[in-house]
Order: sequence, then structure tokens, then C-alpha cells
Amino acid sequence: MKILKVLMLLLISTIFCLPSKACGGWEEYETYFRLFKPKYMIAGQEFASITFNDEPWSNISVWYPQQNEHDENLKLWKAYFPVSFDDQELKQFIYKLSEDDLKKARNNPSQANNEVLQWVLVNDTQIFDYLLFAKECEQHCNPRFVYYWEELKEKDLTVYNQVIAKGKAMFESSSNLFLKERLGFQLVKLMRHAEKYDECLAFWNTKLAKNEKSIMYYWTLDHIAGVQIIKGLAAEGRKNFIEVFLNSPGKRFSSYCSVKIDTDEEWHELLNACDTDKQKESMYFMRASQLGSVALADIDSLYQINPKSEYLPILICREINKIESIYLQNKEAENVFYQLYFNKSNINQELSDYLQKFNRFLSKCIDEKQIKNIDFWRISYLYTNFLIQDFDGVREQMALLSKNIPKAFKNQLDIIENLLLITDKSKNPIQRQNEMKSTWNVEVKDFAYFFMSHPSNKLPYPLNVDERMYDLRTELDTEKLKALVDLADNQDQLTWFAGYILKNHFSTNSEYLKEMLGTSYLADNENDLAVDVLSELSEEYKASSQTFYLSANPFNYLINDRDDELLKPVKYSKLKLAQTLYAINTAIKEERATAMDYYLLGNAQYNTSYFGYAWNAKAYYWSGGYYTGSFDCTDAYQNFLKAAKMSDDKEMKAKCYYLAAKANQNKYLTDNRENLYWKSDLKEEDMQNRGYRDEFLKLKEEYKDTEFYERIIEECKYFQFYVN
Amino acid sequence: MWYFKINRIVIVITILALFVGCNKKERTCTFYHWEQTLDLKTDETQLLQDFNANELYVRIFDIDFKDKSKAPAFLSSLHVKNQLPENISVIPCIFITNRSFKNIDFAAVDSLAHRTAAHINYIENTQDIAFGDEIQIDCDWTPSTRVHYFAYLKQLKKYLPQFGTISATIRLHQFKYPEKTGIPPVDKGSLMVYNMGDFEDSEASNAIYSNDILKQYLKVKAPYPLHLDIAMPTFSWALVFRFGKAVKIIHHPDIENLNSAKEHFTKLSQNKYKINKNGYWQGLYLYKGDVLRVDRIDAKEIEEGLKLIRNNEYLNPDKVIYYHLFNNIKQLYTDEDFKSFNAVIN
Repeated sequence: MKILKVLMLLLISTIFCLPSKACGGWEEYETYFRLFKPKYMIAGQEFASITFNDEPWSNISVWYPQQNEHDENLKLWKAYFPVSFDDQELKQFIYKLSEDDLKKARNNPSQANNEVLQWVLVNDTQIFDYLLFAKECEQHCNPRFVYYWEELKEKDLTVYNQVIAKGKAMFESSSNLFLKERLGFQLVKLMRHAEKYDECLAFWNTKLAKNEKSIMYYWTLDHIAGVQIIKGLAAEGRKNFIEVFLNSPGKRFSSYCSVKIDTDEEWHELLNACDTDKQKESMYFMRASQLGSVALADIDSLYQINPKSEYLPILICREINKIESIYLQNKEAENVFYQLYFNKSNINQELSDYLQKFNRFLSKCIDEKQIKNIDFWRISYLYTNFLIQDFDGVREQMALLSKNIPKAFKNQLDIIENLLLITDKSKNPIQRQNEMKSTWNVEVKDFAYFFMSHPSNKLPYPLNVDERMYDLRTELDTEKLKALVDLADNQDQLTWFAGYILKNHFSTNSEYLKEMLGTSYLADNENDLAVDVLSELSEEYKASSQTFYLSANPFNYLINDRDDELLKPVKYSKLKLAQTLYAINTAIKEERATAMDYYLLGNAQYNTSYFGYAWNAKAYYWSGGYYTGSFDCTDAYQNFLKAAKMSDDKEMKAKCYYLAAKANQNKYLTDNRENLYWKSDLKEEDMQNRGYRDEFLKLKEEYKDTEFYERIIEECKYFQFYVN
Repeated sequence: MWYFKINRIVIVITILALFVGCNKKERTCTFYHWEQTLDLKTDETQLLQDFNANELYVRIFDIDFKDKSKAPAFLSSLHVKNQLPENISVIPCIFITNRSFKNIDFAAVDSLAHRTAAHINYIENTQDIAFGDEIQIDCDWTPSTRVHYFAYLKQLKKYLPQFGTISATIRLHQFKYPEKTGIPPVDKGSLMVYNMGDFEDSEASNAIYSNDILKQYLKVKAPYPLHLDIAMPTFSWALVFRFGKAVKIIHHPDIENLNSAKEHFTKLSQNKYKINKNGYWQGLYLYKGDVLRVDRIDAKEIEEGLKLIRNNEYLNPDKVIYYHLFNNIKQLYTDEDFKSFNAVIN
């Protein structure tokens, strides 16, 4: 029970401790600059999965999820009822009520707690019977598992036959067209699942194929197409899947996946089987939008069939994004545009050739004037001109755009105008950095920063280094912080863009930066410089800062580092720490330091290290995954030994040897950090054999008679290991 | 009296012979079967006979996390089309994706182990296939999933008392850094000596296997805490490079077709082919300008690798399991090649 309580306390204290240490940060980056925005270029969301995907080379994984299918069905039901029902009630009626719920309601209508169900029981019992039948079919065709591991049960054909016979009887006797086509759908689905393929096709051909082409018709055709492929009528089946793709948004994704072609023969067979140009267009569209496609040839074929095809803008956007994903990589060495612009070297000739071809295709289409929405084509074309660095070509096309282009297009043009300014060779970098203020569009900020970081663009250090404030908070860098303080103190001399980067990537708050610089000096053991810079902080800043004050005096020792709640809470400033350390170091330099000086210095060095309760005196980030801030305990160890040697007080000596052993134990961990960080248990014997805690031995042999020895034998399990 | 003397000599010689025999235990060779349908063709059964193989490691299903159900699910269960020869014992293998062990708790781990055991029994009963004394689990675990994976293995052993041995696959990095990656709680392991290279590197000769890389991994200072058999690669794939980036993998590429269909492919080097025109090939649509790099390992390289393993002081496999048995395996390696492999490892 006692152990349990201790464990609980440890757990709770851990929970409270963790957030105070987690002050580093991270940010997600795209691997490339995406400056051509489908959200501006394509109106509507119908093909958003193709065009808006973050990774344009990837396959379409989420496209018209089940919700769309439900919405499509819901619309049909709403149109059927002569009265209006709440959407949620209707959804519950169609999808949520179980077979049992329906049966109970039939036996006791007053207990039906769904308003659609209540209405149906009174006014339209055929609907009720249909729904009951549909639920029964569902059990066979889409059995719902309570547990994911449940096995599919063996199909019982006798039961299938009974349900099919019942359905056929209902179908034949029904005069309600709405229900008849739904019963037909259920029957086709059942026959398919029962693998009665011939009967299924015969039923379709005789009873359903000539029906009006409603949504339910296409839902049924979706199953028929699958049966046709199984029966060897592959071209017919695929063609029907294309029809479903074209006419039923709810089934679009499944039909898209089902038109799978493996050979050139299958492709040509299907192309020949197509009855309409729309079907052929869809074939090219489907292939062009597949994973990793190089779509120009298919886009061109689509254009030949129908230059006004609605698929063309979608594929053009996707293709430009794909080109960007390689052409505009966010690493200098891999960015084709950057390498061409600054170094005149083409690092991906193959892609450049493809881009040129794509650019010529767009130009040809514009010249032939067969296309719809010429402004879309011009903007796409001028953007590819930008990529191939024909900047005059971009301006020429801009001048040809319609006067009243839609606002969304204007947003895209705004991005391009910014890009033109950033890359304008006729202006010097200072001029460009200042002019960016008037045209600024935040959507180009990452590219602008990347591009302007080139040395020729003269962005001052460290604004031209690919780092952010959180990088510096995670790992302090004195040189960078010195430069940042200087920039923050002289902001009036910065260009507009440099000021923007200072503000957005770092900080324009000089005092905030100075506190970081002072902390960095403390970590470097440059205590005099720390005193100088921390002395400049205003009282107002100090009072508002959450990091300037430590929560305890770092010169006190703890037997167990985790017992920091035993410390007296005081606001102890970094400035006071720097001043005291400076005073002790001066005494040591002047050879007038006492044992107490060395002891205090050792304590401060230990406690401000990764292992101590005052780690935040020298760092802003403490990681649970690796050693951060100051973690080397060598100086602390040496100073404890010096204090022990210089002291005449046996109690003091015992304490110093104990603390030296503690510091040396941490040295064992950090010296072997590659292998030991994730070890929950210390390798006691190994540590002992390699002499990392020899001072424990000294304590055991020479200081057994001290009060301090008595205390640590009670409190320190590591020492217990040594003694026992 | 001479009679007794001779008898003693015979006994001593017999005992000595037994000792010598025990020290020189012959290493056996067999295969993994990783297809969904078990339907061995003549070449495949012939290979097993040539090896005197009396067991075959057969993948019987996969376990993967399904986004829809938010839980691990059993996938691609084995379908036995033709029974194996009677003398071949089946060692069932289960591939589990690492993500199956993410975001689950110990109750779910226990449940998964219980259901895995039930599914193994289900496959054995419904597919009319008899399993041997061993079962093997294949999972590329990581630090974040280690605890759950190891717990799963322990529970699985509890739920599968009919198997005397539970083995697990061990990747090379797990072999090299057991302190970091942990040692699975199983009876023994199969060290997977493949998938060593970088897929993205179009300049690399292949991404399946390299003896130079193997040498680096085999430099260990202590034996791995589990007995290890060896899993060697005998497969090939073609990587499709598009604009310099690897975009797809084609398993078992038809190399003969690559060399003969000259209007479609231009041979650039020993293992690289350029696509001359857009078109479908082995179910994939390839584009003019794509480069196919066929990764296959030369028989000599496999021999070299087996020598490295044989001479490694910390490896003493009882068997070599080749990954994997498939219909056209003899297009890649001849009977003579396999005989040589067998000779090297023994």
C-alpha cells in the first residue's frame, strides 16, 4: 500500500512537472513551395480530392466518402415524401433503425419514437415493408460486425434464394415506381452477393435496364458493372462503371477505383466500346489522375476529344502542382528554379523538358481558341512561364487577361505579381525588399524567405539562416543572439522585408532577445557578459517575464534531484545568479576562494545543468528524449572535490564527496549517452567498476561516523547499493 | 576376451563418430511462401525436393490497422488451392504492420493475441492444412510499439499451446542494436538479410541487398540473445524512376520480356531500362522516359553473403530460409545456384 502511494505521488508529480519543461517547439513544413493554388483556379469542390491534395503525386484516398452516398440517398427520400421531415429523423429512419426496431414498431405503433416511422405506419405501409426487406438484404450483403475480428459466415444459398424470391414477389406486386426501382436495386445486389450472376444480368436486362436513368438506376448499374466484369464482359462492365462515375457522385469514388485497366488491349477495347465522347473523356481523366501520372499525353488526348472539357482545368492544376513538387523543393540544392536562377545549372533536365512541353501545350491551346474560360488557361500558361523563368512572357500574358476576371483569379495573380517582384533582376535586392511592402501577399512568404536568403540578396545575418525563434529557444546560440539584439536595436536601418522576417521568424522585442542572450552567456560561463546584458533589462520587462526568475536559489543542494518541492520557493533572478557566479570565479582567479566558494559553485553548476532543478537558468528547453542545455557535470564534480579537500569540517567533506559522486554518476550517463539515455535502470555494477562513483567508497570507508552519512544511508538508494 | 575388446573399440568409435556428427550438423534450407494462394507449381515443388526440405514457411494472413474500424484487422488470408506434398510441414507466418500496435492498450493487445490464435485455428480448419510445431511472427517494431508488440508475443504463446516454438523475424538494425530495439520474447528468430538499400537513390545498384552493408551490420561484439536462423533474399523487383524519383515497385518483373520487347524498352545498362513509349506493362501504366531499375541479386553475391554468415563467430543458424518461393523463381536462380548456396552454408 505504501509503495502504491509513493508511485501515485510520483506519477502525479511527473504530470505537474512535465509542462514546465516543454517549452521548445516545432512546425510542420511542406517539402516544396506550392504557389499555384487550385482553390483560386477551380471553382467548386467536386474534384477537390484531385486538385487540393497536399501531395499531388499521391493517389486519391478520400474521395466522396460514405456521407455523400447517404446525402444522395437522403435527397431521393425527401423528394418522395409528400410531407417534410427533419433531416435527422429521416437519417435515423433510413440508416439507424434496426430490423428489430421496425418489427417492434409494427406490433406497437404507439411506441415508435421516430416521426418518419410513425407517419409511414399510418400512411404508407409499402414503405415500411420495403425498409424491412432492405434491412434483411443488408444483413446478407453488408453484414455489420460487432468485433473487427469476426469472420464472414459461409453463404447459405437456401436463405439467399428465399430472400430473393420474397423480393421478386414484392417487386412484381408493387406499383410504386419509387419502391420498385429500390426493390430492383436490392435484388440485383442480393443476386450478386449470392453469386447468381446470370440470373442477376437477366433480371437487369428484362426488368430494369430500360427504366428512367435515375440515381437509383446508376446505383444498380454499379453492381451490374461488377457482375459483367466477373462474367468476362470486361469492356461493357468498365464502360458501365464510367457511366456510374459520371452520373452518381455518391458512387464516384468506388466506380473510379473499379475501372482498373492492366493492359493496352484492355484500354483500346474499352475505348472502342465507349458510346459517347464524355465516356472517352472520363477514361483519359481517370488515367491522368492516377498515382504518379505524367499526364500531358492524356490531357492532350482529352483536349482533342473536347477542348472545353470540364476535366481539363482540374488536370492542368494537378499537373502544375506535380511539377512544382519537384521543381520548387524547399532545399536549395534540390530546387530546380533556384539552381537555374542563381547558378545557371539545370539539376533536372528531364523535368525541365517536360515543363517546356507542358508550357507549349498550354500556349497552343490558347492560340487555337477552342477552349472554355481563356483566363484560366492564360494564368496557367503565364505561371509555367514564371517557372521556366521567362519573366517577360509572364508580363505579356498578364496584359492579355480580361478586364473583369473573377476575384479568385485575382488572388492567384497577386501571388504571381509578388513572385515577379522577388525575382526581378532589374532591381537591386534592397529596392526589392522595400517594394515588397506594397504588394505583399502572405501566401508567398515561405518562398520569398527561401529565395531572399541567397547571399546575393543581402539579407542580414542571422535572418538569412533557415532558423526560427523556436530553434534558438531549443538550442541557444550566442553569436546569433548578439546579431539579433543588434538588429532589434537598429530596426530603422532594416529593409521592409528584413524587418518582416525579424518580426515573424524571431522577435523585434530587444529586451526579450537580451534575456536570451544573457541566458546564453550563462550557459557559456561568460558571467561578466551575462551581468552586462541582463543589467540592461527594465524592471517592467523583468516583472512580466516568465523566464527571468528561477523558482529557487540554485546554490542549495538536494540529495535527490526530484525532491525540488523541499526547496524554499524564492524568486531568484538570472542576473543575481550571474553576479554571484562572477564574484566566486573572481575569488578563485585571485586565489582567495574558500571551500564554501567551491561548494557553492559546484552546487550552482550542478543545479543549472540538465539534471538539476534550476536547468532553466541556462536553457529554455528540456527534452525527455535527449540531453539538452548544459549537461556536462565535470566542472561541478571537480569543484565538489576541491571543496572537500579544502574543508576542515568532516560533515562538510562528507557532503561534498556525496555531491561529487552524484555529479560523477551523471558524467557516467552523459559520457555513455548513446547507449544509456533510454535505460530506466542504471548499470550500478558497471558504474562502480569504472570508478564513476568512487567517492561513495570514500564516504563508506572514511565518513561512517558523520551525521550526513546517517542521512544519506536513509535517503539515497544509489548509496545504499554501494554500502550494501 | 578378444570379443569384449572389439566390442569396446566399436563402442568408443561409435561414440566418437556421434560426437563428430553432432559437431557437424547439416544446415537445412527451405523457403518462405508469401503469396495469398498456395498452389505450388512443378518447379517449386521440385526445388523443395532438391533441398530435402521438410518444412515451408507459409504466410497465412496479415494484420493491419484499418482506419475505418479504428482497429487491427485480419487481411489477405491464405487460400489453399493445392495441398503440399505430405512430407512438407507448414510453419505458419503472420505479417503484422507496426501501426497495428500504435494507439492500442494492453486489453486490446491481449484481445488481438486471443483472436489471432483463433484465426490461426480457423485457417487450419477451413483450409485443410496441417501446421507444424513452429509459428513465426513478422513485424518491424519500433521503440513506440515495442512494449505492445512484445506483450502480444507473450500472450500469443499463451493462447497457442500447440506450437512448441514461437519465432520472430529480426531486422538487421534490431540485430545490430539489441539494447536499443529490445529482444522479442520468443524462442528464436529469423534474421532478415535484405531490404538494405535506399529506394530513393536512383544511382544505387539495388535496394534489396548489399554485402558491403551486410558486413557493417554483422560487426557485433556479442551474440544476439536469441538463436537466429537466416532469411536470404531470392526475389527481384523493378523500381520505376520518374523524373529521377522512385515512384512505383513492380514485383517479379518479367526480365525476358524487358530484354526482348525492344520497341518498348531500351537497355541502358546491366539492370536499367528506359521506356520508349507510354503503355501498360505488368498492370502498370508506364510513361515514355521512365527508367526501370531491376533489382536482383547475383548468385555469387548470395554465396558471398552466406560465407559472411558462415564465418561470423556470433551466427550459427540451423537453417537458411529463402525469401521467397514463386512460380518463376528458376528464371532468377538455377538448380546449380541453389546447390552452391547449400554447399556454402554447410
